[in-house]
Amino acid sequence: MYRSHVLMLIGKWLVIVFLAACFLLAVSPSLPAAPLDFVLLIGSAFLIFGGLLVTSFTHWRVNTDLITHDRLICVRLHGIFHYSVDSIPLRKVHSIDFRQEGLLQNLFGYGNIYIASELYNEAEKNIVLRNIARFEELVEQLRQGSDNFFHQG
Amino acid sequence: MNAEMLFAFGGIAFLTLVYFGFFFHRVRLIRRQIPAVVSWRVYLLNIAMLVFALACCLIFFILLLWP
Repeated sequence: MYRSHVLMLIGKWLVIVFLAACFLLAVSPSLPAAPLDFVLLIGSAFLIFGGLLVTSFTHWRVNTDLITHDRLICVRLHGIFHYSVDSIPLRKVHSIDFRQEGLLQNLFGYGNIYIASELYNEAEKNIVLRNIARFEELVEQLRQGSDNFFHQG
Repeated sequence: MNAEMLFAFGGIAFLTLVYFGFFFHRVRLIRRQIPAVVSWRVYLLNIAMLVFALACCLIFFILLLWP
């Protein structure tokens, strides 16, 4: 099971924490005097920013690429109303390329994988797996899988 | 207690409850289809957030109806 590097999640969390800090700084001059109002304010902030943290973590965990003996399955949860599972037979895979671009990808050892297949479905013809951790391992498995089919016939 | 603050809290709690209701429904469907993708920890985390939003809605109604 492969997913994007944990740095992607940390990046999102940093943005959310920054927004939470900005929110608290903005409301700090006019903090409510009554303790119950203060509790309601903190509860609201926790609902918003805690919710964002949980959803971003769930997105990161769910967006995975599974490889079986004959196919690659890409599970993508984009939002609550947008969910997709793409299944690509390894025998249809044309080429598997990988690229490490930029400082962060080279520093932390993750990269993008570009898969071209013979499928007629335009959406699945060229698939890009972005910021995959342990991408060499996945590329190796994909190549082995597609080579097996190639040699079988 | 400030009435504006209470209604803002209630609105946020209700919207979060609706959003997490849909989100949890989606996560539950994915867990049913591909169990390996959604671990029980992720599942529990989503349940916890849903329960928290529900509790906040209940607190809002209790505070609203408090004599």
